[in-house]
Amino acid sequence: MRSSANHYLSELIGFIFLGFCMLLFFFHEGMKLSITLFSDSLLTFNVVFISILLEALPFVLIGVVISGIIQVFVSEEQIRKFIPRNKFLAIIMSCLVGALFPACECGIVPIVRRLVGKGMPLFAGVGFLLTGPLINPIVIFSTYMAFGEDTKMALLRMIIGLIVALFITATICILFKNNQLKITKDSFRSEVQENEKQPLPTRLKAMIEHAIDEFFDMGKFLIIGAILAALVQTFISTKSILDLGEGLLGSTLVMMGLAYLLSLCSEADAFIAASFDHLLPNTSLLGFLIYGPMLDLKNTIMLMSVFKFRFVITLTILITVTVLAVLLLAHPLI
Amino acid sequence: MTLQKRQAIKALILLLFASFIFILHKTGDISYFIHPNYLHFSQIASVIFLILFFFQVPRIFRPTEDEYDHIYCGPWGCYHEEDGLSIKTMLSIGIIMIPLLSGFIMPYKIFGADEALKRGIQYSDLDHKLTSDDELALGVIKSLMRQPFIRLDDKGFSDYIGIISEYPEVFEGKEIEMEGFIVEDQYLAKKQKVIARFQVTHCIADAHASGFILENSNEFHLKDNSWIRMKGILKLRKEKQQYIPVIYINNFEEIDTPKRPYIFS
Repeated sequence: MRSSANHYLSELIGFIFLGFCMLLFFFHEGMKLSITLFSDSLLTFNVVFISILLEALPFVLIGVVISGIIQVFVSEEQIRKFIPRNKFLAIIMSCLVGALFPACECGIVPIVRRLVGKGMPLFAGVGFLLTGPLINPIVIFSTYMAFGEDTKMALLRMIIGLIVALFITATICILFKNNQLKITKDSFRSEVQENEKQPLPTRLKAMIEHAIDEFFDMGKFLIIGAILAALVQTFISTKSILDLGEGLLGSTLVMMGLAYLLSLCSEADAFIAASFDHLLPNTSLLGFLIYGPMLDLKNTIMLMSVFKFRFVITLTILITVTVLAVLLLAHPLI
Repeated sequence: MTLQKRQAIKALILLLFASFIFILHKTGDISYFIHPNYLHFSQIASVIFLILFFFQVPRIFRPTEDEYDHIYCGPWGCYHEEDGLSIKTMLSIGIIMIPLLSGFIMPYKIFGADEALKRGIQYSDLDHKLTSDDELALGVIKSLMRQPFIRLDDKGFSDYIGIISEYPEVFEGKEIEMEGFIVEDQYLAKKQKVIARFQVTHCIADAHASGFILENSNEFHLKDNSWIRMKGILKLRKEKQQYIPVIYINNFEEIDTPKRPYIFS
């Protein structure tokens, strides 16, 4: 009885919201304030901000829906079965599994934490962490679209990213033996996953609800990223950005720094990189495209909450040096 | 039977995103933001938002204890935020509302002189690459030379600006008709006005301006940021061991900002 009352009330509220939006369709023009109220640069900022967001939203939405599917329909057991006992094979496998696994760099942190906690070796978790957001069908597709339907940048991003990830994973395998997770009271709680017992409609609903929660979880980081990117575009002239980094090393470092600060989701960052297409060499753009998904501001904060401080610092330095070194070595070929 | 305020706000936000994108498409304002080729993606996004809204609505009155299937959450608990409206949730909801607020109340500006200066204007192609597409270029050049004058309008601009800035010497003395806005580029040596247009590859965030220096702009009264249609002769100017195409204006008229201010290439 009570639950059906809840049901009707929810529907009522839903209809009120829909009615409100119908009003919006007819009266949205009246909501626009006069153009004289805002400064020119604020208006420019707003246009850039919304256009970045509109371009990124479809990819982020597809990302959270797929992530919801994985959350509910794929168990860690199934993924863990793919990782072989041999360390060398495990390094390669973890990077390849990551490559098939579509995830955002923010969405993958809790997944890796769960995998490592369940007994997956730390280095395999890192391989997964690095390639998951960087090499996956959605990212490759959006990179392909962003660079004018050109396969070159998408391929280079994939290949160089894989080389970097393999190297870092191997180094972590040598450096760290135990799992480096922060110890919390939850570490001792074990939970049995019994997905099979739930009927399909319940699992579908759980999947969509996870997608909604993940959208709100990541949406705020996406919007902060878009605001920062739009601020940079509005108030800093491209000439002065380029003056910061003279030469190949300088401009690659500047682009890597930008990727770190903007913390864009890997599904959308290619569109930002493409906007620098006519100003910078491809190597610097690849610095942005490869470094950003592996490490950025919001992802570092999330890693700090999961792993020990010393491990996160080591990983940060390792990723920065490796990306830079591999790009500079590969530059003659790009 | 309590109203879950946070769930209700989330439902409303999802619906507002769906409507915001829908309204942009309905009014055609979407062309101020993204390239027409990519419209389908944002339409799909709008539909996904609507579907998510319908799944979110039943959660508005669901009792908290039934809320999450914790069975799907990890051994370290889960990321579902706590209920109610803490300062943290208010903050993250506030951040997500920013684009909806600014999108609905702020008018959309069309990029003009200020943005062109900030982003830099391209006058010539720096890398002269004489590669395999030479034959293609030759074909375009021949067909252009056959015309009495070159029209750089909506379509012509994206097709021909590249080839003119790449091989300006071929087109010297040719008459050109073009629409664009007027900028005074401070980075140029002499005080000269420039006629420019924005080209957009994907979204306005990647807009880049290209155009021509107007060599005899002092003889005319050209207002900054105003749109003009002009006819003139293409000439060459040598600067730093490189030829830059410039235009000698014959005549011009002021026009309104066109309906399609950006060139989508």
